Amino acid sequence: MNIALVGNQNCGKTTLFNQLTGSKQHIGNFPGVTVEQKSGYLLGNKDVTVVDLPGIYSLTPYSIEEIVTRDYIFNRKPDCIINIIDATNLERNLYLTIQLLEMEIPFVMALNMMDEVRLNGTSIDVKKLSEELGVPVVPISASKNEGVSELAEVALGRAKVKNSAYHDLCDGAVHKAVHSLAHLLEENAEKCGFPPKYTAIKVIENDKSIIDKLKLDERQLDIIGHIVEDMEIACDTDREAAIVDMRYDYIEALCAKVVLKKGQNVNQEKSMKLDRILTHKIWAIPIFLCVMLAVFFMSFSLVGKWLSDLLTLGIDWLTGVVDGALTSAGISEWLHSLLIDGVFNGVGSVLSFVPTIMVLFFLLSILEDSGYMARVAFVMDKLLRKIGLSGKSFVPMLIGFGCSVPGILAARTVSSERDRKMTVLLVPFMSCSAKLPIYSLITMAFFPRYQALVMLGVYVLSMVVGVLYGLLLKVTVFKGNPVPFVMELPNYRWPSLKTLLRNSWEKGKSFIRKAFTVIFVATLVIWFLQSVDTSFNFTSDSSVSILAEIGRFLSPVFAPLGLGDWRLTTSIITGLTAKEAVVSTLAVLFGVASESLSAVLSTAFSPLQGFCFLAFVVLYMPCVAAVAAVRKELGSGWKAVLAMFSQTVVAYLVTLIIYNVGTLFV
Amino acid sequence: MWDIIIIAVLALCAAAAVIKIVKDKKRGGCDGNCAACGRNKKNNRR
Repeated sequence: MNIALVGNQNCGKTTLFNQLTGSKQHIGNFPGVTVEQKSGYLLGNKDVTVVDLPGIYSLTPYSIEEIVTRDYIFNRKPDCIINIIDATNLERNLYLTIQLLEMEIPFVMALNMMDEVRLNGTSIDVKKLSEELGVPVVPISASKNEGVSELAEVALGRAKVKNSAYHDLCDGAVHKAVHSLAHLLEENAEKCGFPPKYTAIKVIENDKSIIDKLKLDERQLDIIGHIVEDMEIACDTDREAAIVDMRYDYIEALCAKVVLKKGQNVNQEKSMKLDRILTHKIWAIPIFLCVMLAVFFMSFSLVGKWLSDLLTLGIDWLTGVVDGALTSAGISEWLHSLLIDGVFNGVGSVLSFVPTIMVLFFLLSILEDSGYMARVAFVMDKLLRKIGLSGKSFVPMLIGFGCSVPGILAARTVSSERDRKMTVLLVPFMSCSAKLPIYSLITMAFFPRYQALVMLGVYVLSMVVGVLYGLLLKVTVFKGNPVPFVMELPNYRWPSLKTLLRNSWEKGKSFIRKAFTVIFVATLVIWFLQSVDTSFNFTSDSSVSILAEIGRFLSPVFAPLGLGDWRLTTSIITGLTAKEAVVSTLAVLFGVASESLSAVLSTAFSPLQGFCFLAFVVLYMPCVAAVAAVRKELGSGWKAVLAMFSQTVVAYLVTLIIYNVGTLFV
Repeated sequence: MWDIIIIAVLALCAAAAVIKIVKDKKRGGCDGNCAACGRNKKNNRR
């Protein structure tokens, strides 16, 4: 049995999905977190699958989310739909409900956020709402897990009802047109599996995808033209507006009946007051930069660093214990080197950054869950518009700061094809979290007093170069204007500790998993290549190893950037498997533990070289997983290769400028 | 003796890691807990 969750963006679908299935999907207090459908079993009932569909405002396919949802409803035919409604925004949320009624499918309405409704002093007559709509309505609070089990029971009962009767929403000219067209198109609609009256409404709306499927003949098209024209004259408006008006007239009348007492939306008032400061046309961006500086300072110089140092002590202690044990067991020299210089130094150097990453994502989750990030998207719209994108591209870019792969996939939320492709190309410029250990290591080595500031500088550099690259794309490949940006600003709320801990734990877990998979294998390969010379003899002098030969072959390319050392070149190349591999490679090649790596680097290279290394690493092409995602989204291998090549050329040129300008002063 | 045991353990770990990497790559290269890919370890039913 299938139950699908359908509702507006940011109305709590994923929260309800997590409560119903006991899973741990990412939740964010900004619209557009869910891009594709997600499924899970209903808790305690393995026969029932719950599907979380992307948030939508209507079933008219303007964006990919709307297409995903509508296709799912028609093609997969769920046994029951749970329509989640944000009860604090009843009128707007009911617009989608009305369209579900038109589709004549069985559904249950979950009136979510009832705790907030009560707090605001609003009173909704749930029984009356259910009677008027002809569907069961269950008041719930998904975040507090109130009413969720009752909702599941009602949904299971409703799933046994296969069809829902058409609900007449209108009268007058629209009513006449709907009925006339329903008779005319009955046979075509039945062949396609659509209810006749729903089909009639879609034809009046001029929904091209439905009209194409109906395969109408000339005579039918002619009659449709006449009926619609008569309706337009009678309503004194165009066909699409007539249907929208019909729905909103019904909703207005319905709300007048069921909302018994309209209270003050306390949260909304507080949010509006805060927005006057946080979205101020002058102060918004400086405030955002200050907030991010504080986040970096807490993560890299204060709490995160302290925790990472503590973990490093633990890793070093364990390395010492194993080192001693291996020596006393009389293990052969090469195996000893493989375990200590390779595995322990390589994997340990990445693992030691896990606490920093977790603290950073804990803090970023606070910004996201409180609703602040949605404001940042709104503020960024103006800036993004200048490079030919809209604020809608900000969400994928924001996700890209965590990991480029989901960021690139999240670009599917962008409705215009031009904007989507441009977003896909710009997301890899956003500095992903896998690069954080590199920044942390390099800033610790060369700029220990200004770690947070340099870190912010690196992020700003990645964004500025991204903006310039966007401008270049705008005047060359992607000429045209971005689509208008409409986004709902959610009310500010206190972040849920459970969500914050879950988000940071998931990020930490992903790092640990990567350390024991990609980094572990990369470390073994790197150790082997740096311990064997070209005649395949074991050597303790890594400068005559195969890896050194490869590095030396490539290093002339990087020499103009101040990165001619073969060990730096090698780490840049291994970074293509996963960015964390840069740090583990340096640890293996310098043959030191994470604790001493920064000290070794600071004596081997100058701060300018350190900064150039940072600049190149932040900007050059992403890891193979992200390249695969770009290829998938652009639909062409060649385009992906070209995009990655151009990004690396941009990185090269920017670093070249930094190095040459830097040498004038240093 | 210890050499052989350690090499065997390392080889097993490396094989397990490679299998995991290949599995992750098949799933699109991400760890399966991200916001957009819509997969989750417990409920991977896509």
